[in-house]
Amino acid sequence: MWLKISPAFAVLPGQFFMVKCGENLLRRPFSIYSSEDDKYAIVYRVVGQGTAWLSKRKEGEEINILGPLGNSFEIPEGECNMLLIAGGLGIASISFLAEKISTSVHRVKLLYGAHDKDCLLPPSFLPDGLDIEFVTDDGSFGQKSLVTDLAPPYLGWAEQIFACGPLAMLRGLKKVTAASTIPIQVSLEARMGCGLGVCYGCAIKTKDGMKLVCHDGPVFQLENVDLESMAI
Amino acid sequence: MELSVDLAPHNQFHLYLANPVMVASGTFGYGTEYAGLIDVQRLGAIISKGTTLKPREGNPQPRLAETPCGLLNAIGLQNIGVEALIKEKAPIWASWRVPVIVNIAGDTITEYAQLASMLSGVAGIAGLEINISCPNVKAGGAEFGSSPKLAYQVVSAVRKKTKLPLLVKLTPNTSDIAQVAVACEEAGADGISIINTIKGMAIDIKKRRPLLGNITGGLSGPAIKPVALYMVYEVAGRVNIPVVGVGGISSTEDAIEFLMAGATAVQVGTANLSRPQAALEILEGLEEFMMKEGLSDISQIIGAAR
Ligand SMILES: Cc1cc2nc3c(=O)[nH]c(=O)nc-3n(C[C@H](O)[C@H](O)[C@H](O)COP(=O)(O)OP(=O)(O)OC[C@H]3O[C@@H](n4cnc5c(N)ncnc54)[C@H](O)[C@@H]3O)c2cc1C
Ligand SMILES: Cc1cc2nc3c(=O)[nH]c(=O)nc-3n(C[C@H](O)[C@H](O)[C@H](O)COP(=O)(O)O)c2cc1C
Ligand code: FES
Repeated sequence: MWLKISPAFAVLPGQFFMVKCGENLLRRPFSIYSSEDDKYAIVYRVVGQGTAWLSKRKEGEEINILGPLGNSFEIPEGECNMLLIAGGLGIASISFLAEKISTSVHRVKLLYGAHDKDCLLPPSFLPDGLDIEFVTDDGSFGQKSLVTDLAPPYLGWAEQIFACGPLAMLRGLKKVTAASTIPIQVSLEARMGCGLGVCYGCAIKTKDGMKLVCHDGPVFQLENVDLESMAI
Repeated sequence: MELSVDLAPHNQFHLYLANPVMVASGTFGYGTEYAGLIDVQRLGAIISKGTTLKPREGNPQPRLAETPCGLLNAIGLQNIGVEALIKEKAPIWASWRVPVIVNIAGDTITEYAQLASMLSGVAGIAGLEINISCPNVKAGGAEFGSSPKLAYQVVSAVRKKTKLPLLVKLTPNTSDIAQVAVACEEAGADGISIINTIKGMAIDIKKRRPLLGNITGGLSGPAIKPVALYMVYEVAGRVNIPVVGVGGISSTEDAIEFLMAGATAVQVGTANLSRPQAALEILEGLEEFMMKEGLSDISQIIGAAR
């Protein structure tokens, strides 16, 4: 879904919008998936009332959003081999990140997994010229595998890993990268009340104490996060 | 047009608000978070996040669940602790025109008293709101607020330690909230805030387990408004100190209902989460209403439906 917002403002990969979805009491968080001039895109899957409401909006309708919110992925300055890992709708922020990484300076590989073929964004919705490996849980597109199982062969090559996806994927990633020292930036999800740091609904445990996913994140260093304390 | 109210008419220091629209504890952080987004100085008062003696990590995730017209939360009083509040937040508040009231919670009566003496005389703190009504913590919390005797003990212990204006925030989870309110008044409370959240739960039917990490939570939002309104009406007829209405207020009309039921002021809570400007819009609506109705003083609305 594309949103036209003027005047235009800068957005960074990893940041998100809080979208008012009809009469629902709380706004819903969605990662920014792309931007172009004064247009901004999100991708979403219908999972409940809020997303069902969104799916019924017609072109030209006005909706109420708050943002851009949160911090962003940090792209290393010097030449770097980057491994991007996306699970499910985690592709939104990872695709936006890939869009912003200059492939003339960096080498980029994207591992992208989803439950099945229908849950994958087709290549035409992903940045041009990106080296992508697709997998699905049921083998309906690409290999039948977990996306994290594709990572080990790249651990000798990658100098920076970026990941976004369901909690189970992040836990898997932590396991397969346990012996490696590559810095890993992950974008996290939590139930959010405000998106602005006032309600403490999205707090998680980290090595540096309690942090708010909406305000201190959503991007964290994987090694700092206590994934076991997280649940949605 | 006169909008100002006094929440502590019997206290030598008084607690004058420029208008009766405040923001509720736990839904507005420390006031600083929204300061860049809206003009927080125009609010009647800001109630800070519930504060304890030591910093608290709060409850396990998930902490929030949306329900029809309501929100269940089980934050578990995550906060930075009173020392950090005095050092980091109070100096900011001291430079503000809007009064900031600190919401305090203890595990024991002694802790409440200790908090009160630490916060007394700190520049930037206009008053205290004693939280004896949090449904999400084991020790303390709502236990103190469900019995008139315990409520009396907490409030008088705090009263002995401070001359600051004292509001006491009550839980609806008690058989007779008016009796608890009367006990608080006798113990020296300057005002009563009604209500904190109503205990509730939600179940994830796919996972076959409670949705909240804490199993139970506190219900807020429009779903609880009629309950809160009734309790304000009930208590305002039984005590001679100001009552502050809280619970599901999201529009000007909601706020006016509470004022007409006998509340001297109102607090906007859950509505702040999706609309940071909610309280200010309610204030503007209130001014418009008074203009249209030809009213010159907010006291003409307070208790008008009694
Ligand atoms: C930082 C961030 C970025 C996100 N980006 C995307 C994205 O790009 N595309 C996308 O499809 N989804 C994304 N999500 C998940 C999305 O917010 C939920 O799918 C959505 O809130 C579901 O709303 P609903 O009313 O349809 O579902 P319901 O299940 O009816 O929602 C009930 C409540 O639970 C919350 N909730 C339910 N699932 C989630 C979840 N996975 N994460 C957080 N809160 C949830 C809702 O916000 C709502 O408050 C993101 C979540 C976060 C925290
Ligand atoms: C996320 C959240 C956190 C809260 N934290 C506190 C708190 O720390 N102390 C307190 O006294 N009340 C707390 N409350 C209760 C509110 O201040 C208010 O009494 C209640 O939500 C009812 O008002 P509402 O329906 O307008 O939200 C909290 C409520 C919510 C939703
Ligand atoms: S969502 Fe409210 S603090 Fe993060």
